[in-house]
Amino acid sequence: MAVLDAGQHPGLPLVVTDLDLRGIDGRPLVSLPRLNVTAGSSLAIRGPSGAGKSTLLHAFSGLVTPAGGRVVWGGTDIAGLSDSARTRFRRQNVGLIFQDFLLFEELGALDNASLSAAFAPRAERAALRDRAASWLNRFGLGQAGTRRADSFSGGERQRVAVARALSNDPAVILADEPTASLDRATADRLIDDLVALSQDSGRTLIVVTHDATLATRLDRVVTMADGRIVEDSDE
Amino acid sequence: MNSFGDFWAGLPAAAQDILVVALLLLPGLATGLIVLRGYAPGRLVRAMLRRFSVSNGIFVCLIAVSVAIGVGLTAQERGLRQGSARAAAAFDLIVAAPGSEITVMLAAVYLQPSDVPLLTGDQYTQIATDPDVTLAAPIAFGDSYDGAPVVGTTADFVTHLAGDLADGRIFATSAEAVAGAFAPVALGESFTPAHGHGATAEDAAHAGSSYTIIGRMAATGSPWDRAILVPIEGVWEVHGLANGHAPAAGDQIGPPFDAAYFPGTPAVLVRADALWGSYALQSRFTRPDMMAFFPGTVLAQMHSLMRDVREAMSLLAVVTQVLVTVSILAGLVILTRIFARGLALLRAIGAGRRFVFAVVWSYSATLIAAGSLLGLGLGWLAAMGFSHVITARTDILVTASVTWTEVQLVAGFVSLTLILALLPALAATRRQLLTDLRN
Repeated sequence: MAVLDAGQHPGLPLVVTDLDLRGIDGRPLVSLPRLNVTAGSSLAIRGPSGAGKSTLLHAFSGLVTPAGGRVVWGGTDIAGLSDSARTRFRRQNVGLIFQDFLLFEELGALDNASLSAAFAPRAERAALRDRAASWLNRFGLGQAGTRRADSFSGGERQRVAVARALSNDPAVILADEPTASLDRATADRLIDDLVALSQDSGRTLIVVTHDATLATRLDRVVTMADGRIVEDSDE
Repeated sequence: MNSFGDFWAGLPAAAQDILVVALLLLPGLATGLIVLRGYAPGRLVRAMLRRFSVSNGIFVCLIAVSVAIGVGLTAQERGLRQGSARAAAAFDLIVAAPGSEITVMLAAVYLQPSDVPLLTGDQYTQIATDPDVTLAAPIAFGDSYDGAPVVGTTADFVTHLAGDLADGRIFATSAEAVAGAFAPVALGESFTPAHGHGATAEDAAHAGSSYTIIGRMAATGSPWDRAILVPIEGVWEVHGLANGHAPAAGDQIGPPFDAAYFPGTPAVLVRADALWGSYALQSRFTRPDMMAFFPGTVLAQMHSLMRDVREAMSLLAVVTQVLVTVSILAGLVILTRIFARGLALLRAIGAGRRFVFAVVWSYSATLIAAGSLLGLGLGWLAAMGFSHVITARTDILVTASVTWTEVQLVAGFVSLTLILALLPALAATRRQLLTDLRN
């Protein structure tokens, strides 16, 4: 996957203060007194299973409502937003990449990559599909537009998922274990490309991974254990 | 209100039917417009349909069968009612000896074997000579050939029943016969009638007597199409009775009959020129020694008596549809759970709950619409099939077809289920996003 002419994009800075994430039963999951992420930088969150990495990423994306604290993206505290406002924020600002990519198996590459066109305002649909097609082209999947996702290789699925995350031109890319189901070479290439995308286009990139080697390819690495950040490469 | 009533009454029937269908569909369509406003979930819905195509196909078939039962029952019941009425249309007024009107009607109109008392020659003469009577045709039944009833009557009745013959000519002697359109005999064929019908028929009872087919009637859509019509004189003669005429009359067949030589007849079809005349005749011939009735009225009474059965059938069809609908809605909730991760993905990448609602509703609506359309077709095919069976078994031409009544039934069902489909859609939006995303 080669990133070409990604274009400049104003990434959003993230300021997290006194974040308290709890489970449905009230059990504390993550406690984060403070975390700042510069706009356009890349951050790796690593740690063992159960450390709270994915939960923290879900809080950054607004998929989890914190029990307390603030998650401020470029001046917007998404922790204080309503469910529908958080959804809108995600649609307008966040590109999400999931561990197993979560494609609709019966749809083609382009339909998967431009999934958000189905619920975008009518005026934006064509542009969104064009953008998705453009990313697929850049990722070498221009010819696979109508092929069903269930015929894709792991690498192809990952590229379609990235194209989907980028199709709404997000300021922030959040990736949850994006390399977990990939072989070493493909995983390395993906992380390199995401970092290059962040650097070239100015998007803020946060990647959750348990892979220490991959994490070092990003600008900054924080390590979590038992719901807390126990190490920060910037400190 | 009056002006609307006038406007409605002024509309052609087809326009009224179309408007009723549109009104019945309106709630469902309006629901769809509101739910889908601003969204384009078509590709996702197609993906969901393809994902579990077998399960979706079973759902569509379940809906189709429930709709087909309703459509088929309604169409068939109406077809049977219309067919039986059409079969009786030629029988204006029937005069018979006192007894059961239904028994006489079944025997004289639908040619069902039965024993009924006879009218005498004097009674027949009183009927035939009444100034308001234009046709007084005696009908004598009881014999058969190869399963076909052999009925004695007059040439005028044959013409009255079926118009001009499709082939050959009308009988001119007591040994000639005219076949019904589908009677199992060929033109020119001679046969000896059996006494009685079916398994108990005595084939040799009339040995030595025979009829020759010299004409064939056009189809009437009634049991008479399988009958063989002979001069009533022939029926009397093969039973060893006088033939209705004095010996001096020679080979005369047909009226006038001589009361002294008239052996009796189970029923007389009577016609008057005008409707009021028929009512007057009914009044005159309804007396202690004979009864007169309109088969159409008796049939209407029978249909009225059967209304409870009809309503029970309709209720059964509705209950079936409701049960299937409830099963389908429960099934849709389960199917929606299977799609939960994909729906959670949609919300994760920025789709609102309303969009998820629209996707699930559209998916449900597609299954309901497809099943209902298929059901309409299946119901039509089933009604056609049953019509053939009933026609073959009763000789009453039943032509059940799907009409606006059935279309309206389906439109109402579609509208109702499209609204009920809001429930699984609502259930889909109430799920825990993160839980579904992780599963």
